[in-house]
Amino acid sequence: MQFNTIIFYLSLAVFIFIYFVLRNKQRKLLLLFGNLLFYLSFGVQGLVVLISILFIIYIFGIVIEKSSNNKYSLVSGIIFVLIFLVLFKYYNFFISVFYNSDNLLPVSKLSSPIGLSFYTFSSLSYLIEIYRKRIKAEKSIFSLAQFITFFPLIISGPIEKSYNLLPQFSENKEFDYERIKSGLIIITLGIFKKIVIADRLADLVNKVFNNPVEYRGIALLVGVILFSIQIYCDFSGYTDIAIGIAKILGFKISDNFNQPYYSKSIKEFWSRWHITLSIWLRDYIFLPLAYTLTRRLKNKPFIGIKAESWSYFIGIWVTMLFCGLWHGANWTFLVWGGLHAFFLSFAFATIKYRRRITKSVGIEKSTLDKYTKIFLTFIFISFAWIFFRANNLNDAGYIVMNLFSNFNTVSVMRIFSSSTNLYIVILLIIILEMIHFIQRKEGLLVFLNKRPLWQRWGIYYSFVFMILIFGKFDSATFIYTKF
Amino acid sequence: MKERIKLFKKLIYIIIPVIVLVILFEVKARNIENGFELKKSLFEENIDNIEVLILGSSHAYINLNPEIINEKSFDIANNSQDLYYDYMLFDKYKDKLKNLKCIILSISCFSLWYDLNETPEKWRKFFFKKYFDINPRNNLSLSEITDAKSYSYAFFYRLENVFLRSLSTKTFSFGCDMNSYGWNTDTDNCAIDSTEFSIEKGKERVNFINSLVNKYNYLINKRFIDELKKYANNNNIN
Repeated sequence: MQFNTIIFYLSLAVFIFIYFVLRNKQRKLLLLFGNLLFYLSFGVQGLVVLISILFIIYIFGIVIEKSSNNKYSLVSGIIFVLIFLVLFKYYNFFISVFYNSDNLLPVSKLSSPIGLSFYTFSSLSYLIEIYRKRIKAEKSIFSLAQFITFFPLIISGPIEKSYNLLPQFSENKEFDYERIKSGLIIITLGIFKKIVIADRLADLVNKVFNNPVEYRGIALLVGVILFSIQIYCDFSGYTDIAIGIAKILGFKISDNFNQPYYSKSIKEFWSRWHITLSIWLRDYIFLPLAYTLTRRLKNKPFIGIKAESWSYFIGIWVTMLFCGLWHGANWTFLVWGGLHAFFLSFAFATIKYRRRITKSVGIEKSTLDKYTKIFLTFIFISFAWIFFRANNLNDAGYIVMNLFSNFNTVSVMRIFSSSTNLYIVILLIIILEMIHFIQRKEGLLVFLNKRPLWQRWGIYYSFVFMILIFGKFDSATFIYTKF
Repeated sequence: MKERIKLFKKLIYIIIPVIVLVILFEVKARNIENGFELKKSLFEENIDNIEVLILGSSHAYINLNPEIINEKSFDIANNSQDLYYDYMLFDKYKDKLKNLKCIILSISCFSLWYDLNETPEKWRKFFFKKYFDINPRNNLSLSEITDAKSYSYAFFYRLENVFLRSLSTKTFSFGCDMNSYGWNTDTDNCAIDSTEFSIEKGKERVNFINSLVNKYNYLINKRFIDELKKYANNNNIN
């Protein structure tokens, strides 16, 4: 039962109605029941894995808190949690890489439970934060289950930190008209991004990426740019829906996107794209690794390179390769992660020279400088998306080699099928950019509340009608639910 | 309580215009001409004179033109039509086909193992029911029952197409490119456009055809052929 199906919204309406009819204690029970039922709709196998992980982190959480040598308890807990991830997602990949064999364990022939990577990371964060003494181990398995199985987040995040979300389950949730209204507006925006823009673009992008040899030059370029927009609308649309639902239920969830394609550098991009994953990787992989390396090198240069540079380079490469692998057990994701590591390392190594150049040209901190940076960052990110979306490295290689080989615009029309479709896509992208502009300026909710009644309702109706008329209700899954 | 009523009212203000809009679109969509309706009316107009009846899937619909057959012929084949619907169509009209002398049943490489219900084209069941009153082979699945496309023309054609049709002066019909003998005249309606043939497309097509094959459908499909043969033998039909 995905977030883009009518059956989900009908069930959600009934759920929310009952949720606010019940008293607080019963509400918590209903929420847990709803969480489990929602996850069960994707299959029993996933629910078994989820409950197993829940018991593991419950027990290890208490053990880590109480044990004198809690480092070993933490490592054991992490290994137990990661076993599921490795078995379901990575076993096949590693076997094929290292042994060139198809000998599979029976469990690895099963499909990976939906959202496994997301709730595994939340679980690991819970254990690590107990180890770091930032939170106390949850004594009630009921509360911990609320956190791990919380249905708006379980499929594709945001990967909420336990110290942000766990305390919210013990708070009383009251019916608040303004909060529910803003939740509904955020959900509407998410649905618009997903089923109106992302799913429309998916048809066009799939044509190019599922059969790249049919296209050359500008058609491939258009396909790549459209994918950049598709994946943003798909994932941020999902996140908006998740945040909106949580808001209606009375929970405050961290933002996961902040208009990432307006970033002026790759580093900034990672602070605006999939923010909760970036923070997770920063806090639990990059920073510990970088600090450890700096300590080992005793802050002294090695082969003429500063210790902090070594720490950054090694830290960023390990983190980004891990990030690539987190998205899936495939070489394409590893290359994607590697490319981002390369971009970040290159940017780190050349920052002084680049500043000098912009200063000497006299455009430092100018509007031209800003938009050039935004444009170049978008180009690099889109280039990396080729590897992320391509079905295999051969296809990605073909696309890269043929991006600038032919500028015949006729093939572009083959992607869009009709000029009407092209105009609709352009119109939708303009609307998306208008939303972004408003969000940057004053925020969507503030903007709407400032409008006179007729304008506000005009906007509501326009979006509802656009979703109804231009939406694709064919249940295409969200890209990130695969991870 | 006041706040709850306020929210409920606002939701009603949103939902009512949506329902009105969908109804308007539904009315509009029901006026769009479609191939099933056209084929049915052409078939029923000529039913008394038909001597040769062509049944089958798109392979017959696209490739067997009744116009070149000397006897009065009609092509009731359709895209993705399986042996169940071939048989049910024939069974429904057999008593009215008074001059029938010959049945041409096109059997493709997948026909004996193929069930429309197991393919992405299963939405066609809606039209067989609507225009020919033929029930699907199996009961509708939960996803089909909850799918608006199973009931609504507007959702079936997609609201966007209905909307764009309302804005455009061009006529929009659905699968109506056929001559008066029921034969497909839409040259774009080919599985593989010969001008764009490639090994990849060929492989894609073979994979698609393979995906239609389900060995468990063999016996039941063979029974439809046997029934047709039996009727033909008993009634001196070739």
